[in-house]
Amino acid sequence: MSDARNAIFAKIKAADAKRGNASPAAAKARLETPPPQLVPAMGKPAAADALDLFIAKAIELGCTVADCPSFDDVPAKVTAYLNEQDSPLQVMLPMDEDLSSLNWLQAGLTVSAETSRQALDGNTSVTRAIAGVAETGAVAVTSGAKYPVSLGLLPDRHIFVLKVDEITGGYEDVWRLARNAKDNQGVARAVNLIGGPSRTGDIEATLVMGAHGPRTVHIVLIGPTS
Amino acid sequence: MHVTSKDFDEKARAAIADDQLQMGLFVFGKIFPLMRDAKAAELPEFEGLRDSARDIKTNVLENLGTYLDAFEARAEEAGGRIHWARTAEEANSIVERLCEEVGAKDIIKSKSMVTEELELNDHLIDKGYSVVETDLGEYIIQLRNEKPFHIVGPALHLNAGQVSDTFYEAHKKHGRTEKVEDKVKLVEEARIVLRERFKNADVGITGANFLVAETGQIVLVTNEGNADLTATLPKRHIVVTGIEKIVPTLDDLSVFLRILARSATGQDTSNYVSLYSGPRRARDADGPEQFDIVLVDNGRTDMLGTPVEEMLRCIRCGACLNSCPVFSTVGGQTYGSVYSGPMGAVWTPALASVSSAAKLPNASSFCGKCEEVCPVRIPLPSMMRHWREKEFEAHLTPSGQRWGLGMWAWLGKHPSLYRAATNLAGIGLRLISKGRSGKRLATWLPFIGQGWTQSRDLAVPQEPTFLSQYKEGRRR
Repeated sequence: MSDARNAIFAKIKAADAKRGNASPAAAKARLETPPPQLVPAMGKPAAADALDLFIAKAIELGCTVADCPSFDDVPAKVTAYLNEQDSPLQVMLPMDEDLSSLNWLQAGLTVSAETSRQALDGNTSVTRAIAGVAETGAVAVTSGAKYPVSLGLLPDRHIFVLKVDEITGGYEDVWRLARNAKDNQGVARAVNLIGGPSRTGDIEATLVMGAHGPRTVHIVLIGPTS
Repeated sequence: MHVTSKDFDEKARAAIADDQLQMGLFVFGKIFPLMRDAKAAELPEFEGLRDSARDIKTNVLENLGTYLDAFEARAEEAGGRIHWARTAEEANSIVERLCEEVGAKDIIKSKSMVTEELELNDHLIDKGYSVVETDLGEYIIQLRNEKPFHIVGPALHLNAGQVSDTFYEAHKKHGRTEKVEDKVKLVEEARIVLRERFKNADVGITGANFLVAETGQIVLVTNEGNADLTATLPKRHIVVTGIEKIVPTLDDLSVFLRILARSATGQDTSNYVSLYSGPRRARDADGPEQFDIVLVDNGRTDMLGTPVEEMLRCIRCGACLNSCPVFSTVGGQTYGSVYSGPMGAVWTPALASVSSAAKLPNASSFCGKCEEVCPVRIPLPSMMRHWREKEFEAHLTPSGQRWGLGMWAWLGKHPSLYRAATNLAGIGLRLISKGRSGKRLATWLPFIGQGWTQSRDLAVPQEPTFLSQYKEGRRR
């Protein structure tokens, strides 16, 4: 134990004695069984409303959303989007069977699984998400072999592939998924909620897109959307 | 923390005379509070969430040791290392040692008020490291060698022309020869320059908006995503944060995420909300090889169990600054501290000393707007009053003010003299006053009254006085 740690804890203990409200057992129990907190209606939409709410919020955050009938149609949807953006028909993919098994070549796309910084910089990435959050319109991802975090940060265009049934209500649903995804070192190294293109308001409080990360975020939404 | 709050009066005068700053402040002081109110109104549960947030933080402060202990255990299980720092010096030397361990040269940093408080950049730069801030606002003020204007928007006092000049000078060495003035192009230029720094840095330093005791995760909230690049690309990620940033569980965290961006910038959510724990795992395709957390006290435990303890609930949203009539008249740099506005008026005396920062709690009209908007319901005016009392007890109040207050108190204890003195003052005022639009106004006063009439007129009390009317039994 470091001297600094002991000194800090001694001061905390002294304040506890003075104030007299500390309850270590209750605090530990709270960590074991987190008590539910107030969740606003927006964070627990009815199943029928979640999809519409997610799409509306995602668009509000500056994302674009495309309907896609099935996984097999994802490459064609990506090609259509890149053509619309006037961008090269090349995509960077994670080592994710869901995605790598698709027929990208047929859709006219060049595919790369390289994850070096130079390779990612300025390109287009396509990744899977763990959830779409209806409350905010953000998409949730967790780090791992299937999602290198830099794939969502270095490319200019980030395309999420999300299934309609992966749309959840609010933060609580993401935590539930993140807690379940525990490995032997606890939850994933990174749990990111991404709400559209990187942006800044630092110059004259004017919103400008494309600050450091992706300039565009596109969501390919698989499944019946109406 | 170097504090130059003693110069508040002179700096405030200069700020009021600065037309360009005043124009920026006018827009700022109007827009941000409106955006906050609009977003709060869209969420019917907003007031309830504020109550929950206050209660969670109260519980945290009452059980700080238990939660820090649990956080440490979980963070270490995830492969992170925890370091404890009592003071700024200790924190800075821990970070320096961690950089040295990996033979670092280039460091990238994400905005963190704690590191501003520690003056960590200066320390590392003195030791020969290159340190680059990556939050755009923070990057701009770093290039200009300034202190942050605002805890959320460090460069909001500057206009695009000033940023353009700054970039033009600073980016020559990166081969940028064209002077750009358009805001979109300015952001693009910073992106190009900073992108190279991100890709080549050895160490990334971030703060933390929250620490989750349940899981050992640190939480970073940004709109730019710069904190995520800082946490992901370099081989070592160092988190420097205050011990008060802890929340017990992920469910508790949700409450804060729902009020933070709404209070700060009037957004439903910040663009990037990220939770990190430990270094890259065996199956991870990227991420830092080492993950270190420096937990900083630097005066925080001194606030525990005192009348300013509740200040430790602060989540640094800046809502109190945005709504403060004083802040939006003089701007953040006038405060002479990295923490400005109402929250700074309570933090700065606690972290530095009452003697060095007494002017800050005094620069409040006690209008109460800060408390009205604070998402964790910190009673800011009463804490500022606490510091005023401390200042008076420590005999730090200027002698003129002490003498004046002493006279007033003495007169107050002698009602007949008090009445005589106020009658006399009334007569005097009427003698030197002028009638204007139905009111009598004194435009010039002698002695200490000069200070008042230099910038405004004093309304002269009407006759007859309240007490004489009361005596005659006159009622309306």
